[in-house]
Amino acid sequence: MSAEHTLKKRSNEEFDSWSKSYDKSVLQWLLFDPSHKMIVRELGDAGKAHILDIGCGTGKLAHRMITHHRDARVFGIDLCESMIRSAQHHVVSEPRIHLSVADSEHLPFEDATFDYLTCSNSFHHYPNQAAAVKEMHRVLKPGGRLFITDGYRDNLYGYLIYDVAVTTMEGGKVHHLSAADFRKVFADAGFQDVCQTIVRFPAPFVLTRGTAAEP
Amino acid sequence: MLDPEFLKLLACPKCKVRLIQEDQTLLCQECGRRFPVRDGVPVLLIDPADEPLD
Repeated sequence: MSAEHTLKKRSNEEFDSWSKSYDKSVLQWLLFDPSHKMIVRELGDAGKAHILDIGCGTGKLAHRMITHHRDARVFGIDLCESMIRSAQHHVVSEPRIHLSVADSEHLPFEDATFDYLTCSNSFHHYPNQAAAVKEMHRVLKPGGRLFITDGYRDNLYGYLIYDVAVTTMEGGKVHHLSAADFRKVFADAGFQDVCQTIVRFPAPFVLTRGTAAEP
Repeated sequence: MLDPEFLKLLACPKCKVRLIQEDQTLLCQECGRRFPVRDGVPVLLIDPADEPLD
């Protein structure tokens, strides 16, 4: 098995054990809730859009998006089947949310399928980050928009949280991109109008957004 | 059965072509892979054991 498959398998096992307590984690209010709120705001008037949430975990963001955008359809994927099972409990009454178990680097969708793509606080787990962003570009319609939030590690506070504490806890198998590296992987994948918002408190995170160009 | 609106957007994670539902599986006519649908959830992973060695 390649190193990359081993990494994905390990992260899967970790989330498997985490899926039961995940929603009660302190990270929910420190980091996940603020980044989910920001993404929902950014979507503006999503209308009947098709939205894909990559690394949807227990479905909190998917649920928040469908609550604010009743005519949209939200598709949630996660590599960890236990997370998807937890998500099923949250979204059981939402016929416009569709869940599947899938890998962010091998998205199970045709080209140019989605109007919006969101990815909140899971990107640091992906072993091939540039390849994942290229795959995201592929499934977005031209003009479709990508929103990724992840820990901001470019100041001392963020560095200590993400590059020291989180990376140590995760046994070195996560990688938080710098804001500049985020802009670079977006541009390299073909995204235009790339811009960022940095939130510094309580937990620092960066939102990077871009618009998919014609392939 | 999966929601037809959902099924029509799903594709093989390898070949990126549409899938056909057969019982509790989704079939890719391009590569012949079958993906399970467990409790209403499609599991669309490529098994690394099926991949050629680099």
